[in-house]
Amino acid sequence: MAEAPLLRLTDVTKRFKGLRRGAAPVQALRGISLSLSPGRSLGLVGPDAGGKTTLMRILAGLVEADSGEVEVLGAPVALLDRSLIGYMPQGGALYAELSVEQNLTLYARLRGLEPSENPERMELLYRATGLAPFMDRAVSRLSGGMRQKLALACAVVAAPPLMLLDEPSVGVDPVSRREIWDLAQELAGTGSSIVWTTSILEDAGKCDEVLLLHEGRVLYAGAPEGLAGQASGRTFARALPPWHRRAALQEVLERPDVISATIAGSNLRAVCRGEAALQGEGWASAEPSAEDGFSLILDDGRPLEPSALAAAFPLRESNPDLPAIAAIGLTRHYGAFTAAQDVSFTVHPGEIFGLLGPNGAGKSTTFRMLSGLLTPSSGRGTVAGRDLTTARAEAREAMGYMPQKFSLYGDLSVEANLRFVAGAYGLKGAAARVAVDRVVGALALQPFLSAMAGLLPLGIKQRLALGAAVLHTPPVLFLDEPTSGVDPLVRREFWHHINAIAARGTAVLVTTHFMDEAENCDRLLLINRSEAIAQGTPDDLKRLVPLEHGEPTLEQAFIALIEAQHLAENEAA
Amino acid sequence: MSGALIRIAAMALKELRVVLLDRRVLTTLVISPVIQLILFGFATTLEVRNIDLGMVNRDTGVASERFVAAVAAVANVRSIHPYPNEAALVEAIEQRKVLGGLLIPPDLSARVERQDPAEIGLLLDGRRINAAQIVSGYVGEIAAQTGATLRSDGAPAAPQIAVRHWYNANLEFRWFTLPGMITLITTVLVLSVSVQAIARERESGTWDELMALPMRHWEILAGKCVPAFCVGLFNGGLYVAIIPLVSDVPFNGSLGLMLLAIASFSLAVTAIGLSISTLAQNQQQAFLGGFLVIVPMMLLSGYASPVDSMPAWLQPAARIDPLSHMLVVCHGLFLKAMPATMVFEQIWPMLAVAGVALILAVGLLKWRSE
Amino acid sequence: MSWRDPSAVRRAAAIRTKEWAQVWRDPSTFGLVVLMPLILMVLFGNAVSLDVRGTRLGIVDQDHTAASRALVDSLRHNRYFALREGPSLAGLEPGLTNGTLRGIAVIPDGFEQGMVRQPPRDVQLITDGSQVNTATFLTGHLRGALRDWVEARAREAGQGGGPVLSIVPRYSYNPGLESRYMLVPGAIGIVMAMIGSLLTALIMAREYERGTMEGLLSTPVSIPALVLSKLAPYYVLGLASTGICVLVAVYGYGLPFRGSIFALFLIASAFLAAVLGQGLLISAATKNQFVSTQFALLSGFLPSLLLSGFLFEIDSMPRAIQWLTYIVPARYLIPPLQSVFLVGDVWSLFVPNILILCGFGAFFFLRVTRAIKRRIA
Repeated sequence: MAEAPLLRLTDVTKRFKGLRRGAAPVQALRGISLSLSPGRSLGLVGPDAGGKTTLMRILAGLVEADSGEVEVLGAPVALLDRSLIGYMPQGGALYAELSVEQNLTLYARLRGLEPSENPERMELLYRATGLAPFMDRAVSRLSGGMRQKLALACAVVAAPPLMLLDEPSVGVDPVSRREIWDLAQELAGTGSSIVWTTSILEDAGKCDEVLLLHEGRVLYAGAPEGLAGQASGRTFARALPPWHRRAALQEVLERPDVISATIAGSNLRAVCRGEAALQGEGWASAEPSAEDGFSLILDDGRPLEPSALAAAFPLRESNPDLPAIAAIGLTRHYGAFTAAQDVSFTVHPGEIFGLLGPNGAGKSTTFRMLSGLLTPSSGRGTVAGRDLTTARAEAREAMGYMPQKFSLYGDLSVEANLRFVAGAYGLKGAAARVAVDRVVGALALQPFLSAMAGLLPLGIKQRLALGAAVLHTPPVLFLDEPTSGVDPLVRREFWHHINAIAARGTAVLVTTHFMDEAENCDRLLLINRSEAIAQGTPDDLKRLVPLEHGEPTLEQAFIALIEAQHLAENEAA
Repeated sequence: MSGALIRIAAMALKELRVVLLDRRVLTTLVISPVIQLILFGFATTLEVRNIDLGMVNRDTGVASERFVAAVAAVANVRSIHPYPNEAALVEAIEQRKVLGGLLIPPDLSARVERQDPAEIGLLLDGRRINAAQIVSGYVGEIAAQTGATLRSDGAPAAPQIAVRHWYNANLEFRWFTLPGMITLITTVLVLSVSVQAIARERESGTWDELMALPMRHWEILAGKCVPAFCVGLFNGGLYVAIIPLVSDVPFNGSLGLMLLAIASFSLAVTAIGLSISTLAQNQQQAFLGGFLVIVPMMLLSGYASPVDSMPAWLQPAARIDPLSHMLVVCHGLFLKAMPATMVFEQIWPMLAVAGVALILAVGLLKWRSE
Repeated sequence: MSWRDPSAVRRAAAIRTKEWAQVWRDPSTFGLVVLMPLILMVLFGNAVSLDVRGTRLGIVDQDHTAASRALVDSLRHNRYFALREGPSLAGLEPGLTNGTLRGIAVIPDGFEQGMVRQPPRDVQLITDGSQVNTATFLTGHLRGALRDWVEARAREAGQGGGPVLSIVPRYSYNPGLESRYMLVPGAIGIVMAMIGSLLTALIMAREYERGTMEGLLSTPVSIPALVLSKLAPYYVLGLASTGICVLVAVYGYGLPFRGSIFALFLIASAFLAAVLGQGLLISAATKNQFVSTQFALLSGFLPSLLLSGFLFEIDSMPRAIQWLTYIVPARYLIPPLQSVFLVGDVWSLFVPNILILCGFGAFFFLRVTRAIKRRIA
């Protein structure tokens, strides 16, 4: 007899009350069936608001399905033995004011593992997560990547047979992202199963099975290779000229027969709609990826239109003598700790400037100093020619700011949030209305207009945050990880807007963990251990790394440069 | 300047939405305060009514009979239970069955007969000192009167006090409490709204976004004043409208002056709340901080006990307490038809407190956002 | 949940440890536990005093005789009054309106003559009736002062004239008529009500607001264990605050403590069980810190202050409100608490009150465990 499945869902449905009184109920799941054998891992992917989190909560027994059967670990979910699951809610359920150790100890004991009796297990957890040196540090002072690792450790502390991880790799640098995946495998132990939601297809590709959810329905279920296979014969690539890379990308993206296009290294990749094929100009067939399959399945058939967000921006002339953003020796100390050391760079109008670096390297500190949120210990910054130390409010008027963490008002509606930000930027009456309507239209926020912002799925929140940052068409845009937690199609859209906005002469400062996005930038600054270690165009950065096997990818360059610095520092010490 | 106005208006609108959109918040801000006003307004009386007394009467003569009858006739005395001996009476007091008891000596009537001074013991529950003192006053008065009627020596009559109570001829307690409650309940509401203004942003992580917007510190605070101020003005006005409807308390003064005073008072309390809010890291701290000032402000206001009775070192604190001024205005305008000049004498100190607290809040906010 | 299950006990302990850690991290909790009792004790010990002294009384002497001067002088030396002399009633009247005077006494023309020739002329008193309590006390004090003055005058003149019948009041438990004796135990009740209902009103709502409830509910911890473990630190803090208050009361204000520590502990524990449960229920039901603190203030703190019978006699309230006081836990705290200080261990009074308070606690606890369903909205 076959082993009882780990998970078995039969025709599960769930609807929620409307977010406002009188609103129509939201159908979150419309008949989900799935079965997962013990020891297998499942990646849940799909656009935002597709039902991923609801499904996870149903599996964890935190939400009751309206109809259908849910069996977890061979028993109906109502009788679930909670010590057998390790559930990590989105963003983790950590106590920010408590220390790393206090959090982990709490969850260990709640999950039936007494830390003092299992020193090896605890040691493994601390070592594997790299949190050992920070045991006494308050969670609020951890970097985003550290926090995700801790939340993961808290969920899987007792090596449960089933792990339910909701977006564990959001906002994590590429190195840590890989570590988190390995960590989950390592900490789970043999025979454990993982169910993992993610917006990053590359992560889902590591799972044994992938489930693509859209509007409460399963659009794909099967092996990740099968997802890529959906796009076979429809994926094309060609070499990119070293200049006008973005213009070339934009041009391809707006073609009616193209669903999605990205810059990958020195190539431009595109997925085509229907039977169309890209020919000439060096186009050739390419190996499809899971992301290509994803784009294809979710294609709504509508070609990408020129960005309405960007159209509202006035055309701004570039003046080489007047940088839009200037960082001059920015340094910030916290007591004995230096969070940023002598960071200098300039960004010109129309330029997209990327800040790269691992979590906790000092990117955010630099970013916050330049956006006027943090006063530098020494050095200074200007935005649109206005000094941040002397004319802070004037400088802020000239910039749009999208913070890393969602920072709009969770208990206000989307519309109220946008209205507030418009007013805060001094837009009144009709002008404010026009700006809000434009952003709502361009970012497809219409269905969520009256929903409470705090209850929105992560990706919609990011759209709202981007919209809020560009309401007043500023000459300078600060985007702190704008695409973390959004699905690939929305990511493509975001960059479509950002590129178009930059083309109008707006200076964009952006941080990102995605290398294809970094390729999109004109210039990059790599920050590690509080110092700027490399600056230049993506190609410049690649050239800094010794060539062994042809041209390195940007990710390889990124890792090599960081390792070189660590090596140099260790030798010095 | 118009840019600042737009920004302040945007902030004010947003704050109003946050505070007022939640239906439960609306309930706590409107319905329950009205219930409280009525409930506590009628409940809090320092009058002593429905008194239960005990008695150990060893005298069988006419004097004790007349005295006891006179005590029993007092409207506020509900009952007089006889007890066989003092021990039984003491036990009844201990268990709070009676507030006190009369101890009438066996020779009372005989002494009165002889025109010798006679004394009646009155044992009272010292735990309920306020009620006990008032009862002692009643009974003493009755004893003096009964004694006078039993007197036969024809001593000259003594002058008495002829008393008239202005503004509240029958000394109805709710005429004092209901107008006073306006001050107390408005304080609680306004402070608990304003104290969250900055702390909520810090706790929910929206502070960063706010700081990245081109708003000056004073603009943020000006916008954040609005909901608490509106809550105060609205509730205060509502109470002024309701009190004459649900009770016989008259409103004799000028409504315009009353609203002006409520506005000044709300502003002062809002400003105090904002100062606390700038210091708080999270909502718990804000709330507890607010509470740390609410209670002293209430107790020093003169509502619970008159400022004159406080020790000299506490009286200056009572004078800067906006509640003490607002109480004067409430009683003045409801009962005394207080003229404008006198109302303004109370409004200036409240506005001064508001000004100082707002300047302090701006300073603290600047300091805290570095 | 079985309490014999060692892992259940451990889980409960883990939550307790976490709550303690959160308490330690946030100094405001200690502000409430230490500072609030001290502030309240100082204020109730000094600011609030039910014996009305130093009442500002205006006086108009229309008689201008030796007798009227003597009466004014005797009033000037009376601690109940702060006297302000004026030429005429009209001149003093504004003081009554703006609150700088609480009463005006007029010694009428012919006062001295009336005493000698009969009939006597009465002293007129006009009070500020808006301050009901002060007006009552002022009337009583002025009557007493006048009577004393008349008797003293008669004695000087060699006439007998003392009252035939008089009262000798004795105040059991509080012979010195200290209003602190009554107020300080009441203040302790307020402190406990605050720590109980206000701190706990925040703690559940905070878990919901910050999203940590989802993490807790996904673990095997049972809901009753979760509730009890979250309460434990606040119970201890409530007892600590009570301890501080008792120390201040006994050593600072010289209150007697005639009962036993054990009885006080039982009374305090029973009351804390009731108010902690109340706060937690509010918190779990509202899931919002702001709303729950509002409810806690309006349903916890204010009723404890106003409807518990410590400042205002319950017997004197309208009948409907008297009924309402039966659901205010503080009503069952104040009598035993006052007694344990001033009387001693009156078990016949303590036991029923303690049982009722425990009943409240059990009721709230059951409601809380039902309010927290294992569901995330």
